[in-house]
Amino acid sequence: MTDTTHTKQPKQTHPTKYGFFRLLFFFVSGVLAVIGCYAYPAPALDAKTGGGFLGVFGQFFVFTEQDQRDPLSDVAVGTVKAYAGGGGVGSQLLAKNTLAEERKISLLRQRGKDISNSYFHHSAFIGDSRTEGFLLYNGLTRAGNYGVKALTVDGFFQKQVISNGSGGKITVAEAIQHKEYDTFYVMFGMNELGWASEKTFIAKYGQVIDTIRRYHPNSKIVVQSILPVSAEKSANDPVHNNPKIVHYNTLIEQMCVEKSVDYFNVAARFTDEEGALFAEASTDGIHLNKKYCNLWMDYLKEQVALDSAT
Amino acid sequence: MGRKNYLRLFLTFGLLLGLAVVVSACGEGQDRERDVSAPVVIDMAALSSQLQKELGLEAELAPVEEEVFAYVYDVVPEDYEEAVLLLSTGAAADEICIVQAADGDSKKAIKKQMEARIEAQKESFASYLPEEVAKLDEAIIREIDAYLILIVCANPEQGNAVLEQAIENLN
Repeated sequence: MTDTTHTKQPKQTHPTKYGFFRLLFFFVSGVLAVIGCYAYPAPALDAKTGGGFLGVFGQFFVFTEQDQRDPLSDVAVGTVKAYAGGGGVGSQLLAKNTLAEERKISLLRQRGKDISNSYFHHSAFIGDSRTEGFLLYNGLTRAGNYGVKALTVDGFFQKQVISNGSGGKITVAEAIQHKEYDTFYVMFGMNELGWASEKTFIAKYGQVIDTIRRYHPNSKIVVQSILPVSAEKSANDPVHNNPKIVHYNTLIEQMCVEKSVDYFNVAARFTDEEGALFAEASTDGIHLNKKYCNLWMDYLKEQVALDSAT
Repeated sequence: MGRKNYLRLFLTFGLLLGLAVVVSACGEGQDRERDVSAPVVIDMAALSSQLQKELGLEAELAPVEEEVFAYVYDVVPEDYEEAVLLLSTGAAADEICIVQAADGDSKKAIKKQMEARIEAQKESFASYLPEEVAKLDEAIIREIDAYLILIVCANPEQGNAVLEQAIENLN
C-alpha cells in the first residue's frame, strides 16, 4: 500500500515569477522618473499644481501640451519690473516672488546675458544725454547713435546736430531717413519736464513716433520711460523731480497705447523704495554712471529675450 | 722711503684718482645721451589713474573701449597703437585721453581730431551746461614723444603739474 500521506513539498517558484514583477517595478519606476524629471522644471511648479512634493506628482494631471511652452512666454514684454536686478524695489519683489517666479527671473537674466551687444548693431537709439551716455558706456558705436545732449522732441525736428558725412549737419529726423534699422529705441522727456504744456510735449512725441514710422514702416518702435532722478535732486529741483516724472510717464504710456508702440518701463528697474534713482547710480542725480548704463543694457537684453519667448 | 718719495706717491695717486673721476663723469654723460635717444614708454593705464586721482575731477569718469575712442575722436585704427579714454557720464565735460600715435603723421592727425573734439564739446555744452565751456577753453593737449594727452578738468594747472612730474619720472 502506498503511503499517501502528503508531505509538504517545497514550494516551487517559477524561476522568473518574481523576476517579472521586479522588472515591472523597475519599468514603472523608470517611467515615473522620466515623467517627473520632464515635468518637474519650474514652469510646472506654479499655483496650479501647488508646488512641493505633492505638486511634483500632482502635475501629472495637468501635464498638457501647453506646459511645454517657453516658461517666459506668459511674461509681458516691457513689464519686467518684477524682475528688476538693480536692488531696492526689485530686491523686495524678488523676496516676495514664488519659487516659479524666481526661476523665471533667473532664466530671464541668463537669457539676457546670452545676448551680445552686437545684437543692437541694427538698432537706433534716439534721445538726450542719458541716451548718449548709454551708447558710449556700452560701446554701441555701430548702432544708430542719435543720443544728443539737450535733445528734445522739438529738437528732433529742428536741431542740426548729426553729421551728414560731408562736413555739414542735419537734424535727427533727416538723419534717420537714410539708414535702415530693425528697432528704434526712443527716450525723451527729461528736458521737457519744464515745458509749459505737457499736452504739447505728448503731441510732439507722437509726431516723433509718426515720423519714424513714416520712414520705417516695418521697424519696431520702442518708447522707454523717463528714468527717475535721485532723491536729493528730486527734493531740490522744482522741475526735475520724481512726481513729475511719474506723471509724464503715465502720459507717455497712454501715448504708446494710442500709437500701438511698445512701452518699456525702464524706470522701474532703477527706482528705489522711495521712488527715486538709486543713490549709487549717479553723481549728479540725473546721468547714469557706467555700471548703471550697463544695467540698462541688461534690461533691454532681457526684453529681447522675452520677445523671443512670446 | 723718504719724505720726498711719499710726496711723489701721494701726488701720483691723487692724479690717478682725479683722472678716474673725470673719465667716469664723461662716461655718465654719454649714457645720459643714450637714454634720451631711446623711445619714451608711458604706462598709459597708470598715468590715467594718476590723473584721475590727482586732478580733483568734478565728474565721475569711467574707461571705455578703444572702439569708443576711435568713434568719439573719429580716428582710424591705423593711426594709433593704443588709446585710453575716460569719459564723463554727461554731467560734465571732464575727460582724459591718452593715445600712442603710430607715427609722426598720425600724431598730427590725432592732435587735429583732439582739437575738433574740444570744439564739438564746446558747441554741445554751450546750450546744455554753459558753465562747462570754461573747462574746455582751458583744455590741455600735450605731446610726449609718440604720445598725445588730452585733459579737460576744472584745474588745468594741476593737470600740467601731474604731466610734468610724469615726464620727469620718464627721465
